[in-house]
Amino acid sequence: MMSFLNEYGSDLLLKTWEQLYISLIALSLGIIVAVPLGITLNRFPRTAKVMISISSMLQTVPSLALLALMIPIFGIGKFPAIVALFIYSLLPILRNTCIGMEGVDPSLIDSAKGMGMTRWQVMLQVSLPQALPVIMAGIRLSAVYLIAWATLASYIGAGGLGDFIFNGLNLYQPELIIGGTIPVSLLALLTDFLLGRLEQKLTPVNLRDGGEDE
Amino acid sequence: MAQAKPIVEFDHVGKTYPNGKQALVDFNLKVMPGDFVCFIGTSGGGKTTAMRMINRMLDPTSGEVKFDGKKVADLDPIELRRHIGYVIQNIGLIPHMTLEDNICLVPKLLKWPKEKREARARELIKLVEMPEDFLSRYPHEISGGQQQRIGVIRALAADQKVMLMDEPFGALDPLTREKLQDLVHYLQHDLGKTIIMVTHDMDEALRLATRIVIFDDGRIIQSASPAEILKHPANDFVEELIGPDRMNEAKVMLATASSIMLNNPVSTTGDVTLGEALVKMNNHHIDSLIVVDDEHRLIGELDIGQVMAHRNLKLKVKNYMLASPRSVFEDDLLSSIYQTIINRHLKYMPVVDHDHRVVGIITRSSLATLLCEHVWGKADPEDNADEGK
Ligand SMILES: Nc1ncnc2c1ncn2[C@@H]1O[C@H](COP(=O)(O)OP(=O)(O)OP(=O)(O)O)[C@@H](O)[C@H]1O
Ligand SMILES: [Mg+2]
Repeated sequence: MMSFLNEYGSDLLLKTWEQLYISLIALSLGIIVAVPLGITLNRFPRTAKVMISISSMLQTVPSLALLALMIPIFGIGKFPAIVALFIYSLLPILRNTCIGMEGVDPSLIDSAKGMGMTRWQVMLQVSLPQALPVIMAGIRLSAVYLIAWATLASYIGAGGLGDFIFNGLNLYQPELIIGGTIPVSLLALLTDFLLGRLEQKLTPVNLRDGGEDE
Repeated sequence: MAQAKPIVEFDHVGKTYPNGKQALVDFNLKVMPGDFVCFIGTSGGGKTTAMRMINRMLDPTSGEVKFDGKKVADLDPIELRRHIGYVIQNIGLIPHMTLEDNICLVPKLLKWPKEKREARARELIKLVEMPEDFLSRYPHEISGGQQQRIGVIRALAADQKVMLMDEPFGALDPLTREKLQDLVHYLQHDLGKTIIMVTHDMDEALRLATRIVIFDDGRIIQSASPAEILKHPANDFVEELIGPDRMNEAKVMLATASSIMLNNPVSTTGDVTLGEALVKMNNHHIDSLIVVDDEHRLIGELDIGQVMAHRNLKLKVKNYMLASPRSVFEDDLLSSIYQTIINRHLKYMPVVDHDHRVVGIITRSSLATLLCEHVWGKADPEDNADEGK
């Protein structure tokens, strides 16, 4: 154990950082695209259905295949990996945004509109805050997936903890496999925990249970 | 009453939904400032549809809706809605905003300065008798009745003159509902708001409305004051909607004085002596006499107390009688007479024609008989039998 850390310690930190970095960039892009898209789609329920089925289809493409498909288009390295992960992040976020927006009490929206709020005001000040916990749950799920899947990005030369694992597999060195896997799991768990806290913070007061948060 | 213009007007309005459903057919209605209009009728009759056209939550497929003389179709819907209060059954308070932010929603949309908004919120929460520190609470931290009170004051926070309410109290328990009815009555009666309210509760409509509009299948069946509707229901449908109990009660309460009075009340002229008057009282087992002039016009009242006070039985009644008691006209309605007799603890009231000639009398005990008959009349005979055992 100690010897493993002595030998690979700095490398481990670097790879962990790469893993995190790839996933978080992909996740941020996913949020930037999918949340506004989901909110906008709320007005066009039919288009929303189509978009969700398209992204569901993308989701079913095996991750390795998707990564491999990136090579002819974007070559190898971090960039194609981020693109692939970004595509993966879309579905959970988009779907949850749509579900969250759809789930807002229609009478709440009706009365907000009836008092003279514009569509945008209703969306941003009424619907979005109420939908936030569901959207956050989608983001959290995406984040955990991306961190796990980013391991495969090593396959197209994006670096990350996958380097350890694939090396371990190739050289038949179990300690490398374990040394790569444990940080991935820890990273995923930590992200899940932190985003969970954030989700609680962003949950509107009426939907909190217990609510002795502050 | 001079040159009053309708604040809301429906002019041959029709609404056909995209699925072909004709929700309103040639709908005409004028709502005057200060009116309290209740929409009532069968489910699916078009009440909500009609109401939502006023603030352009819906647009008519034919005809015109006018607000304050202007066609709403020409007005910006957002701007229009900010000037019309809107209250729905599900309350619609925004759950993640404090009561203060909820109350001040429209003032904020109208860009009122912060101090003015805060002052308004404090003023309004006082109006509904809730403590000021509630302003920082969230809707889920107060009761349903309190929430709807906030819902009501939110709808007038920007001093909206007209308020639309769609079954606002439908989900509340009877006691809370009564309190809120008092509140909206106050808003209309004392603050001069114009209120248009959809309700399923006939008692609520009868209690609050200045005008009841009865809907069936997209048409107005009757549009009249509560008294008029009780007196002359337009057809069987309206009668059914009012229900036999209320019709029965209405028959009693809307009875005229002449139809319920006792005829030939014992009276005397002023020229007789106290002694003669006393004999008359004794003969009829009563303790007071109506005093009339030669043409039988009411001029005063003689009470046994007056006779006892003077003892001198030779004195003339006209010099020692009391002033005329409160009288009612023969066409006054029992609903108002009843209130007066009960509230003022009167023993009786003479009934006079419009020349003030005494034609009859209504006594406190005859009122009791009448009400008793009415209650008996509507009670289930089996209940009576049970009580008899
Ligand atoms: N958006 C819509 N699309 C199609 N039909 C509708 C729509 N809204 C209402 N209707 C129909 O129009 C008719 C009138 O509806 P409305 O809601 O105005 O009735 P209401 O008098 O308010 O009924 P309730 O007392 O049940 O609230 C009903 O038959 C209803 O089914
Ligand atoms: Mg309705």
